[in-house]
Amino acid sequence: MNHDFTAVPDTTVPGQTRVITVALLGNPNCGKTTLFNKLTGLKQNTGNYPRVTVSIKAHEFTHRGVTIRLVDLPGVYSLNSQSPEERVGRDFIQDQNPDIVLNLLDAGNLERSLFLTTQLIEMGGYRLFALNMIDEARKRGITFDTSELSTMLGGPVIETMALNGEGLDRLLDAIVDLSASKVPASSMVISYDKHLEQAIVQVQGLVTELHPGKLEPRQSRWLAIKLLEGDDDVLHQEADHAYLIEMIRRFRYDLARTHGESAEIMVADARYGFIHGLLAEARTIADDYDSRLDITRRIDRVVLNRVLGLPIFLFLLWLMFEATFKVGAYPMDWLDAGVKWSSNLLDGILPAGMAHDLIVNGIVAGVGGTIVFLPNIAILFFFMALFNETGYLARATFLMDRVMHVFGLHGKAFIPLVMGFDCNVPAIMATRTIEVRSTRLIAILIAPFTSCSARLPVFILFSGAFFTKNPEMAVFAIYLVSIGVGLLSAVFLGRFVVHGGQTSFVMELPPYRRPTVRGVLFHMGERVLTFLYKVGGIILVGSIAIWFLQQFPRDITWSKNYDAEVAALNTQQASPTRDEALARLDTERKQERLEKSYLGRASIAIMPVFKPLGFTWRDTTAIMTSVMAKEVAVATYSILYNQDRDPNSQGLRAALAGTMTPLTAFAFMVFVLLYAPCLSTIAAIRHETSSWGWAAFSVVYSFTLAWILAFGIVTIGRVFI
Amino acid sequence: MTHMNASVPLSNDNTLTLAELGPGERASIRSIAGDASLKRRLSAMGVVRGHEVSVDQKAPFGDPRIYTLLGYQICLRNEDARKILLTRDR
Repeated sequence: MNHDFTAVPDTTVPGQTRVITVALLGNPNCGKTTLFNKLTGLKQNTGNYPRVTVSIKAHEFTHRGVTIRLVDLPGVYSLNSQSPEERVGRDFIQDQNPDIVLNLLDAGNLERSLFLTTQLIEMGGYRLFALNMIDEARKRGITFDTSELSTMLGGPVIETMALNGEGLDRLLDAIVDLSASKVPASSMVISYDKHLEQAIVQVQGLVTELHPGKLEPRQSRWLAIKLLEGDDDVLHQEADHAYLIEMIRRFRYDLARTHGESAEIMVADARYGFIHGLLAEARTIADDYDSRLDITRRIDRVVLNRVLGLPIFLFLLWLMFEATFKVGAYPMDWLDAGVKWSSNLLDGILPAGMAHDLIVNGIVAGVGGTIVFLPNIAILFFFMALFNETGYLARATFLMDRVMHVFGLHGKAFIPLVMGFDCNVPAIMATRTIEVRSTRLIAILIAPFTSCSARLPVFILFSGAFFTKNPEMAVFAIYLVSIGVGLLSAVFLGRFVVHGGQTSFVMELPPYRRPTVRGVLFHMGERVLTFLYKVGGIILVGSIAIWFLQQFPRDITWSKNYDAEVAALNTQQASPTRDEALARLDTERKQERLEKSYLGRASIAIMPVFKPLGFTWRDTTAIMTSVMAKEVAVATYSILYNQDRDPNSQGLRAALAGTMTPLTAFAFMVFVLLYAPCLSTIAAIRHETSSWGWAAFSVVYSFTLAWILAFGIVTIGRVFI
Repeated sequence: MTHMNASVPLSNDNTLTLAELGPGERASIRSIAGDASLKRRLSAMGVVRGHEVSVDQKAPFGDPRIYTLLGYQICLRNEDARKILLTRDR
């Protein structure tokens, strides 16, 4: 996980208004994103750093002349080091020392919301509380004594409704007031069981001695509690102090022995004890507490029905893909036409030469070929946002968990993997819903094995050329290989590569909510922008690079004087034979150009790797170029054999038909399916794992797997055929 | 990690695991077995001694299940639910 928070630039300039950093902390599903968007959308943005890190967004705006930098921390239930999100949140509060922490609470779900708050209180510092979704609570007859709550939590409490903006102005006023406060932040403590408290005091004493002058009392107490709770990160940090570690081990052992309860449970009990005490004082409940779930339960009786649940889910999935492909096909055609039109336009305007070729055949072809997928992505994410906003996504996860569990995966990995059959990039982005990093990593690493729609043209071309009797069966077999390799890889990676994968599946199911247009469009827009950013970045650079590698070096030593031969032929009388000879010469020249280009030379150099599989240098070139995007393989073959680019083209099929045996052709299809994900996917892996290491691992792993499988097919197949 | 649930008599009629809780029944959490990591995860979600739980829904294969706790719904696999010991309310 990227901890580089320094990426948030400090815009404080002497003489200007000061900037207050406010960290927004809260549980998932408590309306945090809505509040963040409302607050930052309400005010004119003076700064916007959307790509700061994977997990942290920050916006700046002004209120009453004060600049507020609002930092959106990931939604978490606690500040332990249990998940990357929790670590990010805790490290930010601990190391970046925000001026104020704004803790968002679900008014209808306060017991659980406040657990996080108890940890925030223990970390000290200025804090402020938004009692959000207060309308839902009011409807159920729940009222709060906010001044009592303020006193007990050590910070102002404001009732809000992020959805319609109620209370947000008062919230901003409170932030400004608190930032000007001369009173030190409340240093209240949560009191624990007598024996635990004694242990905390002793550990705190030792910790203070070990870090002389570095820790304020609240920090050393917080550290002592975390250590006694057995927090892995903190224990790791202090691993050098053997005496301290031993002391903690002894305390934990003694506490467990004398209390029949482990220290972490005692800590949790005390925190909930504090919460119950607090709510008994400051909250009044009129009617049945559970009633807000009545509608949700009624919907679930149908939607999650043991017989109907899966069929309904599969229907919705089918609907989503149908819309993505069928409805998406129309705007896709328009975009395609637009790309062709601009390509032709540029073709006409630009004078023939290098710049012309670079722009038309390199940039427009590469970028245009990718941007046509924009409608599909927008539609897919519209549905994903809708499922997410309504609360159905969590239910789909619940339905699929059992099946995924068999392969060591999480229910939450299902949707992303299904999406992979459209395009791996959104699939990898969608794994964000999986909180546990190791499980998410496995899902990210197997996503490239799902056969995305970009690979289909290659399979159509090859099955048409080599499996003339029943091409569909060959394509179907490839899809089976795709699913099989993905699931078995999950098992393999979980066992040998990514450790700690099999974590428990503990998930909150948010109640059903009516989706808001704003919310759905926001989430959809976010994904679309990410996609466009990628097209403008890696695809553009990749297109240019491949074009150059194909075109350079310019001065190659030709095997024969094409110009002279063409000139000689041109002096002859026009005849079909002459035209044929001219065309052949042109093809030969193009092929030689490619063969002697950097790309061709590299292919010939790499070819020995593919020799055992029976691939030629042309196949090698196709493999190399299609790293950019798998459908590029078809374009490469069309250049190599100088044929139409249409995968259904008879000419290209005929040209390919004799070049390998059906067995080798199938091995090639499997190879193209599995080997190194395309550039965009590699970029997505890098972005989502925040690590080049995992991106490199994915490339090496998939390449090795592809090679072994293709070799196996060729070798074993030869025995039987 | 040592946990001392062995001292809890399992034969008691009022004691059951969360996985055994039937529809319409309510029971209070009594203790949680399992490793420290699971305990901390569950604690953060309100699965703590004294809180009352009930079952809402089973997945098509009976696993995982949805429970109501502290006025919200939580989903747990049966293997984890078996680690949560309850006392039936009277």
